[in-house]
Amino acid sequence: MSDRTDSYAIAVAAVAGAEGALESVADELHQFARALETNDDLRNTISDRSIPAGRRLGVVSEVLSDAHPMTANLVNMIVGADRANEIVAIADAVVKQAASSRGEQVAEVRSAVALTEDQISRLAAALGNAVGGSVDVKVTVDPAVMGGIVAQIGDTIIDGSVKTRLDKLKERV
Amino acid sequence: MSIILAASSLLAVEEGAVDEAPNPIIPEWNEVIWGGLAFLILFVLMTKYAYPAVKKAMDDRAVKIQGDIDAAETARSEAEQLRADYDAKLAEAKAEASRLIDEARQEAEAVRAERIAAIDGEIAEKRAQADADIAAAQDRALQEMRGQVTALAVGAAERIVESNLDAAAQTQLVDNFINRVGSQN
Repeated sequence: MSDRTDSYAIAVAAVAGAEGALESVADELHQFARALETNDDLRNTISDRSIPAGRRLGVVSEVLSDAHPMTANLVNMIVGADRANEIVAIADAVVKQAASSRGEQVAEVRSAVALTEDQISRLAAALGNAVGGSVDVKVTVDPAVMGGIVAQIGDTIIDGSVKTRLDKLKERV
Repeated sequence: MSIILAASSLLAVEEGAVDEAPNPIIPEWNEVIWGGLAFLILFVLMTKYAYPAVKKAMDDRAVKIQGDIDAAETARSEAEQLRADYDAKLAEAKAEASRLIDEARQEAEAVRAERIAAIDGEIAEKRAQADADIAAAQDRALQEMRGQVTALAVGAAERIVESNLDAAAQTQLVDNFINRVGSQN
């Protein structure tokens, strides 16, 4: 991550924190970042400098219409500064910051189906046990997983997906 | 009848003449002497000059003829010698030519045999190569088929797994994961 990304992250976290919305903003930024990763059109539109800035900001506002206003503002600030291609990195940095401000680590979890609250809390407990500390579980639904869960905490990946097991089977055959 | 009469009268004349004319057969004495003298002179002259000269001429001629004969003989034997030499040389040349022909034929034969052997070798090599190629192609095809069958089988397995992942199975998987992770430390 570059210094600029870090600086942006710190700024965003600071503003969100000042408004007392760090958790929500971090969450929504995380979701927005995952949406950007999967949706090529959205990503291209936001990053395309030949499209007038006003249009791009309009798109962001529409996508984040249900989100906390701070989130929309902060994303607009980044897009307006023509740093839209760094949104994902900034978002991840913000999430990390938010978690570490609580003394937690971020656990990126990918699952084939949405998880219930119960499952999420149990998962958080289990993962916390595994890494020795509390974790902030951020769940993303990814059909490619097929079944089971893939969890990444920092550099540690715990892969319990059906897809991986099938891949291993393919290799052995 | 007049002819007979003329003839008898001639005879009568002839007989009469004998008694009066000199004898045609027996010569006179001075004739004999002069004759004999002339004869002797001529004889001596002839013996002294003519005979040797003639003899010499004849001898010379004989010598010359002999010389010619000898020369001819020499020439003939020389010619024969040359002829013999020529024959020998000819025979030698023929033998040489025949030898060269034989050599050339042998060489050609050897080259032919060599080429045939080489071609046989090439054919055997090409055949072996073709066999190897076929075997390799078979192997490849087999590998490909195996790969495709594997992919199909695994694909089928994937689809089966997918279709069998209902909500209950998913929940079970999540719970398994949680339990597994929770027990790690």
